[in-house]
Amino acid sequence: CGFHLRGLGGPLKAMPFASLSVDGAGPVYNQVLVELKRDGRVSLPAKGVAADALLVIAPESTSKDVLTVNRAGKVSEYQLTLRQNALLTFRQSDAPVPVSVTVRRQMSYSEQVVLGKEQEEAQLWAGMQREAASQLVRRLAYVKPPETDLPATGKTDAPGKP
Amino acid sequence: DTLPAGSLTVTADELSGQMDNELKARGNVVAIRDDQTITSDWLNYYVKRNELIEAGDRVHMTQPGSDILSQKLDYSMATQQGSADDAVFAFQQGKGVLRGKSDELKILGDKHYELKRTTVNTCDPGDESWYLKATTVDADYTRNVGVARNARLYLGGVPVLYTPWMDFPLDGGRKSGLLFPTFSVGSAGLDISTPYYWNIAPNYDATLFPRYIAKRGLMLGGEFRYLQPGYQGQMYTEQIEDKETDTHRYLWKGRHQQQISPDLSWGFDGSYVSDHDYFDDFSDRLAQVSSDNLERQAWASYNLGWGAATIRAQRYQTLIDNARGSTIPYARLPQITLNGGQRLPAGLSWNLLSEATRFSHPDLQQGDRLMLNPSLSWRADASWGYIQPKLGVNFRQYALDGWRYGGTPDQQRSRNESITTPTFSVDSGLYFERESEFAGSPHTQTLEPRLYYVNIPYRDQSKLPNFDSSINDFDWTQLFSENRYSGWDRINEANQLTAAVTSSYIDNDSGLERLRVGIGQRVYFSEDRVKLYPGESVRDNVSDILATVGGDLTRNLRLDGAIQYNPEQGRTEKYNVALRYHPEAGKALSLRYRYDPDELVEVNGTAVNYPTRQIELAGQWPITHQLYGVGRVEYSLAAKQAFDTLAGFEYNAGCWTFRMVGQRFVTDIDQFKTSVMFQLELKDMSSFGKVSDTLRLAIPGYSKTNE
Amino acid sequence: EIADSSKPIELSADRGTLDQNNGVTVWDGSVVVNQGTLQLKADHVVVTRNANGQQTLLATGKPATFRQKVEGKNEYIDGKGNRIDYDSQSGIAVLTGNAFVKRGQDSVAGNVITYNTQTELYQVSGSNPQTTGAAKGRVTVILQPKTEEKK
Repeated sequence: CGFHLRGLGGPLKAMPFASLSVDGAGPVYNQVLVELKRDGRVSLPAKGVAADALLVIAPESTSKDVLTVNRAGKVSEYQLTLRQNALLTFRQSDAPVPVSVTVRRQMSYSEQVVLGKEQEEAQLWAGMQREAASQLVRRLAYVKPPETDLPATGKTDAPGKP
Repeated sequence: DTLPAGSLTVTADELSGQMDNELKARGNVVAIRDDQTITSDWLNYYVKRNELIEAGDRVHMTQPGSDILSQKLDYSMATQQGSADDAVFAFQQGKGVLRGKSDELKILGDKHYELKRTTVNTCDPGDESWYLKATTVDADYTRNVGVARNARLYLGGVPVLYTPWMDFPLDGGRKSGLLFPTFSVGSAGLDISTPYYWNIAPNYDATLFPRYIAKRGLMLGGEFRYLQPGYQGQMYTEQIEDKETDTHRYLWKGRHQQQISPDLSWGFDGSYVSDHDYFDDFSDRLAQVSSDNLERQAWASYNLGWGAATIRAQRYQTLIDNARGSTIPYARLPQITLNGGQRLPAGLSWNLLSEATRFSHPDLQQGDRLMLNPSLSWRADASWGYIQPKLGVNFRQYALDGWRYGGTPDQQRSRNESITTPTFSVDSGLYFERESEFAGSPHTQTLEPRLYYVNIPYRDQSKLPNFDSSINDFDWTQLFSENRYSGWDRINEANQLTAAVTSSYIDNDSGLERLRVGIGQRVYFSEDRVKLYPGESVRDNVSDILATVGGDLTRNLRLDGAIQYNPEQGRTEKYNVALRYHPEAGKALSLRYRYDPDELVEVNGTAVNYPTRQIELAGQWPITHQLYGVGRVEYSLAAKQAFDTLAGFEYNAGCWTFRMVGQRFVTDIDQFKTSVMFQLELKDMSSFGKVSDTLRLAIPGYSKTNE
Repeated sequence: EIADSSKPIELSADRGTLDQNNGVTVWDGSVVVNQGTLQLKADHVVVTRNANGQQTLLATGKPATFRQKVEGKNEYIDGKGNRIDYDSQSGIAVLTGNAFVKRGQDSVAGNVITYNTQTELYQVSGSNPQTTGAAKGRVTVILQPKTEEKK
């Protein structure tokens, strides 16, 4: 039915840069570094070493809103929203390209199990941060490099880690 | 010939003067200097008197950002100071416009004006729908702040408000001075609060809220905010001598955060009220809905590089009358946590979760609990997949005090418990792709099967108390976690395999995930004998099937849904579906349906199961290009009741926007509260009423039309 | 300079004619008139001398020009106009017909400029007194920034 393993049956979609330096702080920033190392299509030079592009991860903006109320007028569902913005700037162009990802989760709530729900919410946020990071890295492959024909020499052979 | 900067060109019908000294111009005088232009009937210019210009009878002085028409103008080009009589002016900076007339307009310097006996507003010329009449308005465009003194606000020509002092932003920025009164009429009668914003210092400010409530009397509220490089925080309080209950009632709310050193920080936050009904009587809907337990905590945290150590004291104030037992959450006095982890070479990484906590409670069993959970995992990644085995061991040591109320003699003695639980899990996944199409444009379709195996041996935890554990929702996150309980008092027995597959369509052009569908189920190879409470029903052999769908079908249309199907009983356990249409600012529609046959509902302290079939419709839509309708209804088909109905409109007349919203919402079983709220926003000047905050929560995608 | 008006007038031209009975001399062809630091150039100059020896000049040219040093400064005043009437005794020059006077960086332009070379007072009007009722001409003065006076 046409499906092939990514990177084996067909060309792996190359990143529009060969090396990337990443700036920022916070859980999503840390997870983006993990995802980039796992992804393997891009080299991550050490701080200070020039790279083909710079990705700046903005502080994440989160909100926890009441989604539904039950018949006793109490919260029955919260909606957790994580908005993660980032700016990708190619070395030879100074126009940063905005890349943003929004992740939403719902969580039921009950005043009977406040401490339990506190930790369940923390687990949901951690999962949302991992998903935001992986979607952000996946989205980078689709950013158009500036007109000057940048040699897109992203590594195409997928290095199998030991 | 381009003139050098600073040269003055005067053109008129008649001219006379003395070179290098003075100049008199008569008849249609036009004087131009750099970007300043002055036109008048007559004009004198005195070089020796600080390049003073005197101009009269219909003087019109314009420069970028300012336009002044007056009877007589004195202006020194050297000092850029001067004054204009009977001035009609218009100043502009950024999006902010300030227009009006004043008996005397003093020019104190470049872009800094003082208006004496003036009326100002931010409307189009001739639009007098509202204006501010003040003895002085100091408009300093270098600091973007306007300050009015002895000011009266006129709405439709009628004075509605007086303030001795008020500041407002000049560039359309958010910082607004006088927060105008908030009116609402509801079941508690007339409710007016007139907040005053007090900008104490660049990083200290306060807002004072005197508030009159017809049935209860005068409440004094105040919020104090501070922001310094090393620390920041805010304190909020409301105090009232309640006429109806003849008691002193209050609310305290505070937050503080301080960075002592790059690695050491501490803080506290929390809220406390005088009595259980405080929120029902005084606060807006949001606070009532989500506040049976008010958290108070203080914490200090040290960053170790590979992890962080935190100590905190936390307790809750439970606002339920004669609450007992599990209705009151345990207090953690204190809780010390040490979490961290590091990546090691060759794909290995270790992780540590650990915690030592003293749990205290008014009537339930108290005790100390130490928990250590180190784990080691290894991960291999390729472009086509990954595999990640993980081995951990959970050690728990309890020092339990004896029961103080009831219980068997055995339970009334203090005792220790210690349990060690090894845990093992393997997460693995493959990534398949193919080129395909979605809605006519090329998309990449992914297919990602995932297998997740968990093995945790049985440990008898029936003699353990339940300090902080609860059963997690059975959702996608739960499908891929080792323990179906949160908290550390229960670790489920597991010999289970979760199989799931997700597929999504990714737009080859934008990388936008158009649609993502996922389906997963768990197979239990053995029975889970761990229970949180005796009657807990635990699944064996197969779990429910979980399916989720979500995606931006188009740039404006968002679909989200999830369903939980029970194959053994052949029925749907739960499902919800939501559609959100948001073509542009000011237009938003959302529809959501939720079905849950036995949702847990607390009815003052006791948990009861109710069927839930709830539909939520919300929208903001333009009626005319200035009038917008807003509405929301959350209707329970099971209870045949609307838990929340809201309707209103928003009229945007350019330089003022008026919002009026009526809301009726449930506060307890078959008890409702109604309120009507007004909000008037004067463009860039100020707004009064918090209606827009209520709307932002009620209507997904709501946006203010004057933003 | 102020002292110019007490200086003798020297004059040179291609052709000159003398009209004895009313003391009028007429000069034509690149006429140059010098009086102290004042220098006037024109195509046609009529010099009349009145009873007590005061001389007045009427110069026309395309344009007629004059130049004079400013009292006490090494700056010059330059003026031009289709016609210049100059009274050497009072030092007043009347320039008519797209008249223009420049002193240092400052300049004055208009239809008729009356300029007193001694007091540096000037008057500029747009309308030409001979053609009453004509469209009001505009006059312009351009004053440069006084650098030394700048704060």
